[in-house]
Amino acid sequence: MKRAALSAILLVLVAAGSSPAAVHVSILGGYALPTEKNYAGAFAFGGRLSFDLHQYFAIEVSGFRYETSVAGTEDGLSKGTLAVLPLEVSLVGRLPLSGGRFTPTFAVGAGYFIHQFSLDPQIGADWETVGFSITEKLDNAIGFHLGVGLDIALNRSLSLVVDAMFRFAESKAAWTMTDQTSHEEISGALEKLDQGSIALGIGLKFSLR
Amino acid sequence: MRKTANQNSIVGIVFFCLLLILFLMPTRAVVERQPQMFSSLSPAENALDQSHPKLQSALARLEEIYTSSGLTRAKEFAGLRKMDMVEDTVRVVAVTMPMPNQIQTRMVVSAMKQRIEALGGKIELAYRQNIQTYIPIQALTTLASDPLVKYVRLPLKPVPLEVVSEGVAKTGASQWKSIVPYRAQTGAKICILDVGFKGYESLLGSELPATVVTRSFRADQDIFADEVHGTANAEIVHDMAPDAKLWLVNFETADEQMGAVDWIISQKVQVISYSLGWFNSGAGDGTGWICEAVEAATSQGTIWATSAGNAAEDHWEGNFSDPDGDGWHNFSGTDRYLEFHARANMPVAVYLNWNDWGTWNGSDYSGSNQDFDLYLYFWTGTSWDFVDKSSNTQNGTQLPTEEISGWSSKTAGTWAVSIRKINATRSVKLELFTYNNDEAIEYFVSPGSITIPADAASALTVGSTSWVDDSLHYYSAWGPTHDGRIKPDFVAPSGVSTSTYGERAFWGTSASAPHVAGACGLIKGNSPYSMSQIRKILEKRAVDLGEAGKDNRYGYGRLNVK
Repeated sequence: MKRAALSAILLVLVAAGSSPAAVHVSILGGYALPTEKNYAGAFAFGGRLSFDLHQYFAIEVSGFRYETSVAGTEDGLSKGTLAVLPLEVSLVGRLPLSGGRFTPTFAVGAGYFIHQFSLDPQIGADWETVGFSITEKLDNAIGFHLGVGLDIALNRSLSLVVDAMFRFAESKAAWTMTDQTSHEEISGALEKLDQGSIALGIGLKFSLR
Repeated sequence: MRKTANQNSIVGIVFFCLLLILFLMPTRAVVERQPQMFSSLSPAENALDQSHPKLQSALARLEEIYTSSGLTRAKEFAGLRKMDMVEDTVRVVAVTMPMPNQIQTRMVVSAMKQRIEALGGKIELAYRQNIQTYIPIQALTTLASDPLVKYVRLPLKPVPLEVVSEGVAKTGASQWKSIVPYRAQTGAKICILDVGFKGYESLLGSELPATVVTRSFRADQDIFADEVHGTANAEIVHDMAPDAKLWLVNFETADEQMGAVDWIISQKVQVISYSLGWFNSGAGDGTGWICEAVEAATSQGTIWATSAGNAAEDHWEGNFSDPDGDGWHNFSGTDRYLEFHARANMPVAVYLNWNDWGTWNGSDYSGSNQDFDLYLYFWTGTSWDFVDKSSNTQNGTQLPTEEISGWSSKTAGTWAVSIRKINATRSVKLELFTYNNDEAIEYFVSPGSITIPADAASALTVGSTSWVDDSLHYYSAWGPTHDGRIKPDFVAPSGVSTSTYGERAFWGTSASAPHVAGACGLIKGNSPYSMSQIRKILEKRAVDLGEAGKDNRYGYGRLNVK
């Protein structure tokens, strides 16, 4: 899936390169607040590549990574660390105001959420001392997003970007506990784990053409 | 003639003096050695047994004493035999005739309740076909004669297998202290099912959890029952599984235990710790009332950890053998006495059963037609003094059991039992247990010495080893079961420390079973494993001792959770 997503992004970049439209590169920092209450809020960073399709429309590919700590629940992920990297494609609507100095933006799109969960090392180590191993794996997921933002032109090729993005995704996870002596294993699946978030971002957008 | 009279007087005086000397000197020593009340309450050794075939012989004897000597003497006998009496009534279990279905059983039990009340009885409880009741002594034979009654007997009672916990470290449970529960609700539900919990309140929040659930199924609802045994067991469970929620449940009789187990199941308790043993309460092959209770609980996914018993050197079994043809079993050569020693004022008990229980139908055995009696003697220094006998009739429907209990001696001494064939048409295998003796019995046979319900197939049966060096304790009972299955399943430490027993160590398989119950609760309370998986985990983790693999002394080996 990762390869497929990266291939898609490269295809868009190649397509954009052949297009006469302007290309913009943004770098963003921000804060992601997961909608799952057992996940802590976390600082995030990412980048965005925009291709103007029209005066009012653009297409963007972006990535926005954050790493959150999970408190752990019986019917959700255990205590640990969760890294989330949504690779997204968005259709962006723009409404240039004041001669283009201020441009409110609206975005909608889909993405592929790459998840990496690590069980709290202390839990794993404690269970190892009594002879049990634990694995917990969170699946990647397809998600959707809606966003609003504002581009503030600083000069012809540089803008200040602020936005807020609502991401919706659900994923599945699997856990396994194994007694290293008897090899007695017990496993389970976790369904419909909320991987959504509200992210606030601020960054700089460089216009290449 | 006058001279002759004087001579007669002198002879008379000398004879009187000799009698006085005999009375004051040697015979006094012998009298001191005699068990209390032997002569006055013992039956005649060779008297024909004419008691009602549906009445336990001890109850027949009680009625006989009451009729011939009055209530005071009857109370003495009842006290000696540990019978429960209120005024002129005695506590018994009336077993009603087996019926083909539950509806008819209920009808019979209902009818019997009315008849018992008409006889002046006061009913305590009814469980399946058994009615536990107090009944006037003089109505015992009348009750036994009722056509709806199969048998009238004393209530079956367990004995604490007590013989405090270093076992926590030994078994590796101490390494679980830092464990964060994984996909488990913290704290398993563990029930300590025992006879009494005296002193438990003072240990709450320290040796026991701050709160516990208590329930007494005794007729008098007394959770303490003047017995600390259950409290000490609860301490060990709490030591092993500190986060576990504890249920302290007690009972006194078998029928009360049935109700207790039903209630425990309804509470969704996950582990039962049971450090009690029963004699003459089943065929030793996993059948019987007590084992039935174990199966009822385990079929709901509950783990039942039970003590193997402490009878490795208090058990004899063998085929009836009478080479001298006098009707008495010869334990060796022509020796018909199996001897054992007991301390002063220690009430001894002997239990005999043989392999003629018939078929177990889920609520009762079809019964025995091979009749044997059990005799108890005390060594006076010169001869065996007959003390008591148990002469239940076995002519087809009764249990193949005899039991004598309660007798004690003012001084430490040697006791003996003999087994007499009354009416037997085939060779049977006899099994004898003694209780409260202080040394190994003569001719003891350790294999097969587990007590009930250690023979239950689904029970986790626990023997006893030293927490210091893993050596098997001399008393730890051995398998196999009477149907050839290997028991025990595990061994666990005993001779450990508890607050309840203070400076005395807590010995016996009683102390071992709660270690296993606690270990099960420890894993259940911290992990998502099912009870059957926990059982397999413990089997594989056990430290193999004795013969390689599972064996009849150590089972899979010593409990190990690390």
